[in-house]
Amino acid sequence: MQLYLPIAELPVNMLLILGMGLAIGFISGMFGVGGGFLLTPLLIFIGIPPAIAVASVSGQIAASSLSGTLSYWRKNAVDPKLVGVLLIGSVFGTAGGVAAFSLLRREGQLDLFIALSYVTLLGGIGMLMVVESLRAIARSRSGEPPKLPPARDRRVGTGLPFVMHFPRSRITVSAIPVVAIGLGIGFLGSIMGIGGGFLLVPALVYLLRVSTAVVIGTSSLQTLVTMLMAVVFHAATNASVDVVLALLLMIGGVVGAQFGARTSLSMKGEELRLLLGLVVLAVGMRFLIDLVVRPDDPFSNTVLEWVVRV
Amino acid sequence: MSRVLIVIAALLAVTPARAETMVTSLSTHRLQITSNFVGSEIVLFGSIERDAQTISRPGGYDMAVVVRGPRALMVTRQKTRVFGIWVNTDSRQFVEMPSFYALLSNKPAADLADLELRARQQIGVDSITAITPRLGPDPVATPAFRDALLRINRAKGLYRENPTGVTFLTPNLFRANIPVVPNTPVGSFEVDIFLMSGGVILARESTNFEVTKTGFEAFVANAARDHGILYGLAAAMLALFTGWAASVVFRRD
Repeated sequence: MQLYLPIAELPVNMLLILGMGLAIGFISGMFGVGGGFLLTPLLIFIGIPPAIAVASVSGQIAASSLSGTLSYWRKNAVDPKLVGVLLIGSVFGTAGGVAAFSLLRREGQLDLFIALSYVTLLGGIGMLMVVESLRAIARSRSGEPPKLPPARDRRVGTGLPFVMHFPRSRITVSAIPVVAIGLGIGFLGSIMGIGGGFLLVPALVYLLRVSTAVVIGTSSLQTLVTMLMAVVFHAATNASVDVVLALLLMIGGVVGAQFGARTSLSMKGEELRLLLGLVVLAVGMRFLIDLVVRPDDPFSNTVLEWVVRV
Repeated sequence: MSRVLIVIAALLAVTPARAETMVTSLSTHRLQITSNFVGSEIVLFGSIERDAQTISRPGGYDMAVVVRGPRALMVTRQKTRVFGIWVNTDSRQFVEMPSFYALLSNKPAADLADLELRARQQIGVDSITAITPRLGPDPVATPAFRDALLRINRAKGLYRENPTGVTFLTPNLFRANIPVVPNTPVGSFEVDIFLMSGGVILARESTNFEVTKTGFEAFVANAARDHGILYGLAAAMLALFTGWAASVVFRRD
């Protein structure tokens, strides 16, 4: 079933896109991540121009993170105050990311930047996840009880100015590192076509020491708002959001996520993290291989601008 | 007697009388892209009209149909290895390149005419003019970029030659199927039709057709181009609606 994409200007197999959305949605529901880091490379691989893949995936991530956010919101597991402060950084990060995206595309270095970011971030995070989950599995095998979180508020970076208290997250922290994290996630997310959940969750847990009870919900809400901004910014600057592509991905994604979430209930947390770590690491390796191995054709063509276009 | 005939024939051949004319017609001048578009074809019909004085061409007629899509500024980039990874290091821009090019003929381009004529009339992929405004640090390398540009567009199906693309139905009636590829650029396409014989152009006709998006596709593309912010807000609303609908449909708690 072929369907013509009005912005990408090429026909795609509708069932293939729906199936990809479904598969990535399954993984995202299973691990509680957006899945953008898998979906964007897959779309580029089947021939969607990178600019359109990145911008359209933002819409898909927004849709799937809204269903996540709503269910966490009902369970009272979101810290809106923390999200508010993170967003101060994200607004500028996202706008900067979209602007850098246009510039890099014009200079022909976008693919390189995306590949390098994927290799470093996915490689690093994937490695951390694998090591951490293997340790956790070893610990549970040896019968040691898991470390319980301390019951009182944690204080991070309180030597810096603008110290704030976040009762839901049970932290007292300077606003500066929070805004900086928002800035970084917004920038990388809009350039790489990822929600950044797999970056934000470890940052919240290990850097800000946010209570684990609200970390996923908070990350979901933050991802939702950042990706909505990314969609609007990409549409306004690059006109690269393909709604038809985005809608197909959304439908596949939200349905797949439900089945993924059900499957994950039957698995242990550390096993899930190990599996996700391996998937993340594999995607990073794939990009590394592309960077290092001699390309089939060292030349490539790009249309810079049309002479006249009706 | 036969010698006299040969002399007369030779004299007639020398006279510049362009005795042949062509009448051509495209099956459509406006190809509309709808949601189920997977590529298409436009049929060109033509007949060769000869008046009473026209001599017969010993080699028969040749046809070359050149189709060119909307022009664009293109850049070809070259990767080289820097610190172990492959990076775009050099590039050349080419101005006014056709985004689509097809040569349809009844024999290979090389047999139609000599190189000079083909280059002048842009007959054949290898004859497409590619002008670089800036030669870059290494002017000698530019031909390699030009070759790569043509090679890659050929591989994508955007530049193509079909030496059996023109069919003669009768000696004076011909038909050519102009391909419109699935990843076709959108815009105005020029069609140049050359009637040739023995490496010489006898007559030339030009026409054009338009490839446009229609209906929903046109609406979406225009909105994205002309009202970027509104379009982005609409896309964001769509994402919110889909996510909300999913959470209602699949709600279990």
